[in-house]
Formats: sequence, structure tokens, C-alpha cells
Amino acid sequence: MNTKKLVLCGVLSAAALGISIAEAQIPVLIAVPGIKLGLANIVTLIAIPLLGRRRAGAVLLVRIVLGAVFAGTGLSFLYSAAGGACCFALLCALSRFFTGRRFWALGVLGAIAHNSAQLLCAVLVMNSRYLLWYAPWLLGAAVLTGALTGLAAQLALPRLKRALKFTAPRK
Amino acid sequence: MRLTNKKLIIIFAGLLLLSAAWILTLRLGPEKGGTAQIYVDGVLRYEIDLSRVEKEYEIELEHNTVLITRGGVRMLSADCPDGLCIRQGLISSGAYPIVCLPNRVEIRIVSGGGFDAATGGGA
Repeated sequence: MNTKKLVLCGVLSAAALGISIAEAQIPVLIAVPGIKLGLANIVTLIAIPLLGRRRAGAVLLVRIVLGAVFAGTGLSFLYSAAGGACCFALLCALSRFFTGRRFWALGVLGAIAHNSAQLLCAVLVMNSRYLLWYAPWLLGAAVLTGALTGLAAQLALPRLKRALKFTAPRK
Repeated sequence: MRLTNKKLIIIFAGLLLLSAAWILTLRLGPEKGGTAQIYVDGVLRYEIDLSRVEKEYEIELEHNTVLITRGGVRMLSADCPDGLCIRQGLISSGAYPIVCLPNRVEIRIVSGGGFDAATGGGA
């Protein structure tokens, strides 16, 4: 891989990590377990068209692992990984269908996948179906936060492409 | 499959309305009272019939403290980083559980006859 792409991977990983840790300091508005703004997903969203799915996956992995190392526990890593994996899998599958002005929808879909996976993970870990009571809150939050992050990514992407003078890589 | 932006907005707004409606139906459901159950690490540690509670008291777990009153239960203190469990406030009916995910504590209220007992305890 060329130097430019390598550096971009590093920069995006650092950005995602920084955003993720900064966001963890913001007290959440609604007291529902698992609710958060998910701003670090903006990086994941732009990484896919900028770097290709494989490298974007690496950036996500680095963010999840280091995020848990710096500011989390083994348990939080599990939730993070579950949400991140499902979100990323969905984004990989659907990214070709939502380009240009519809890119933001990937934010919503990714967020829904992320929150659903995390909720299911929590249900399994806590061994309690009662946690599913929170499902509608997490669904609504996913739609809202996903739209926001998706929109941010959609607006940033063309400007980033121009600034970096990038062409899309062949996978 | 021509999914225009407008259609996407409608679909997602619909999902939003659906989740709002879902939340509202959950709120109307269960009634007050019942038995509070405290689970740590998936194991039932305490089971308290709220109607038999005369004076409010606290239960101390390894990482959390729970307040038991006749009107409901709440998380009084916790050493988890987010403190969400404390902000969840008082629960008094069989709806949402209070969860402290980092410490694997769950408090739920089940309605119907329970028995007043502290099961197990200890580590």
C-alpha cells in the first residue's frame, strides 16, 4: 500500500479514537444503557469510500481495541466489538447502494445495526430478556444519531476527497 | 428499487414514530407494586416484596448500593464510569429494569406474588 494511504489510515484511526474518548466524557441526555452519539462512526463512514472496505475495517478495529485499552474494560470492549462488527458488516454490504446524496442513510442503518447488536449482546451477557424493554429507545436514538453522523460524513466526504486529491482505490 | 432521499426520510421518520409509539405503549402497561429482584452477574441475590417494606433501607453490593422503599427501588451509588444506573431513577413497576452494565447488576420489578427473602448473598 502506498504511503499516502498508510498515513490516512493512521490519521483516521487517531481521529476515531480521539472522538470516541472525547465523546465518552459528554454526559448522555437520556438514561438508557447503550445510548450515545456515536460520533466516531463518522470516521468509519468516510473511511469506506476513502480507503476501501478492508482498510476501513482495520481503522475500525484499531479504534475499538485501543479505545478499550485506553478507556475501557474487557466488558466494554465486548459491547464495542459487537456493535462495531455488525455495523461494519452492514455498511460493507450496503455501501454501494447509498452514494452521493443518499450517503447519510448508511449512518442510520449502521447505527441501527450497532445498537441492535449491542442490545442483544447485553441481553446475553446479563442473561436477561428484560433489557429488551430498551429496544425502542435504542431504535429511535439510532435513527436520530445515525442521521446526524451520516449527514456529517456525507458533507465531509467530497471535501475530503478534493483536499486529498484521492481516487477510490480498487478494494 | 429507486430509493430517493424523500422516500428514505419517510421511512426513517416512520421508524422514529414507530419507536415513539412503542415506548408509549410500554409505559401504559404494568402496574405498580410487586417484587423487586436484584441480579448480580446473572444470579438472583435479593428478592424483596415491596408491599412489605415498612421503612426504607439500603442494600450494599460489591460495587453498587440500592435503595429499597415501599414506593420503588433506585440505585443510590455505583462506581461505574457513566453512572447511568443512578440516573435511571426510581422504578416502581414491572417495566424497565435498572441496569449497571459495567458491574453486571440488574434490578427488576416483577409483579404478582413474590416472597420476602434475601437469597444467597455473600460473594
